[in-house]
Amino acid sequence: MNNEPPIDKTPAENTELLDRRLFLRSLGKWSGAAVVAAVAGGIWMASSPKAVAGWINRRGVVRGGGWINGGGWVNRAGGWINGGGGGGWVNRRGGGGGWINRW
Amino acid sequence: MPQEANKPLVFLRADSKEEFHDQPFVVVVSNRSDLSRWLRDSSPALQWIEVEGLLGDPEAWALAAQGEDEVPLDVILSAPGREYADLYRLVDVRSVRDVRVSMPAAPGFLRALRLAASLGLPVRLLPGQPTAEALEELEGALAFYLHDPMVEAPIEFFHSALAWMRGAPTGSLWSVLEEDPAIFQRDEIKGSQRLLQTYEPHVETALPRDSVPGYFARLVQQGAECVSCPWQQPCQGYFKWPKATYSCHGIKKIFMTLQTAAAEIGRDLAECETKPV
Repeated sequence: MNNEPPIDKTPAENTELLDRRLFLRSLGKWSGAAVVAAVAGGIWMASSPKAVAGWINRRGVVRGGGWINGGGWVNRAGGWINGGGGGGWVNRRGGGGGWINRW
Repeated sequence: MPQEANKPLVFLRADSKEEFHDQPFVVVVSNRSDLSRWLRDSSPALQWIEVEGLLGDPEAWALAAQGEDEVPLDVILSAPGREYADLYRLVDVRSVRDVRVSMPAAPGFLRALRLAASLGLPVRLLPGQPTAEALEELEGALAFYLHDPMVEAPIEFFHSALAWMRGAPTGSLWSVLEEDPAIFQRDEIKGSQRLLQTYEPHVETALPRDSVPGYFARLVQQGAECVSCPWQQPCQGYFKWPKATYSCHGIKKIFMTLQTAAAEIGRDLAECETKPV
């Protein structure tokens, strides 16, 4: 399995990911969740063993460099949707933003 | 990477005498007074509260709907076919805290899964070794996950499996479903290491810690069908536990549907890229 750390995306790359998601949604044949999973853009830490760090980070037990801070269902800093600037279903309290990061 | 990166997540009973200050933990509650007490816990080490058997208690959810920016809840439906109607009680809760619903692929689970998704709740569906009946529901659930416009929140394990098939670095199903005992340590929750994914209480379901790689290696060594399975990487023998003789025929159909969807999405995206701006 691939446990490589997530690659930070540039704003242009994030825009491209968003465009791809919007295109897929516009087809009307895929759910929003499936679109997000399919266009993860190489950022997918929610389920990696090392992403336990992400869970820990949510409540501030461990912070700082070196941690994979990209996912986990309770991770404010990232998560399953992670379309740019954070996201995820637990991310409504901080970070993140656009409509695609919510449901 | 700091050493803490590999710290496991420890699951504790609500009445546990253990104390953790810098070790991340999850507390498992099964009555309203324990829920009330832990909802007020401010320990940053508490990652979330796993709530068992309380969905039928409206007062518990009135309590949980108070506060702001509070500890998340993982709500367990052990009998989703019966409990699904009570999911409405989580509507107010999710406005103040993160809520996830976890359920086994027990008969009737699809109603609960659909309702949870319609409420915008993420779902952790624990397939275990599904029966023929459960496999039929799993196929329905997968079609719902892939195509229903109402589904915005993830439904695991479909969600991570689809991402894996699109090249994302997901973990194995063991970790996706939070059942890898090396990471999710339920030592204190006796007999429930894999509580959620079996409804056969007499079956020993707990894997020894650190045993997923060893178990999978043994399966391969013994010539299990994993050897030639195209999805051995994300699965890692998940569907061969606890019974190594379980036939994965139905599960492979699920994976094939996901693979077909991933390929179709790939073609859709290729079309997107060739369209003139």
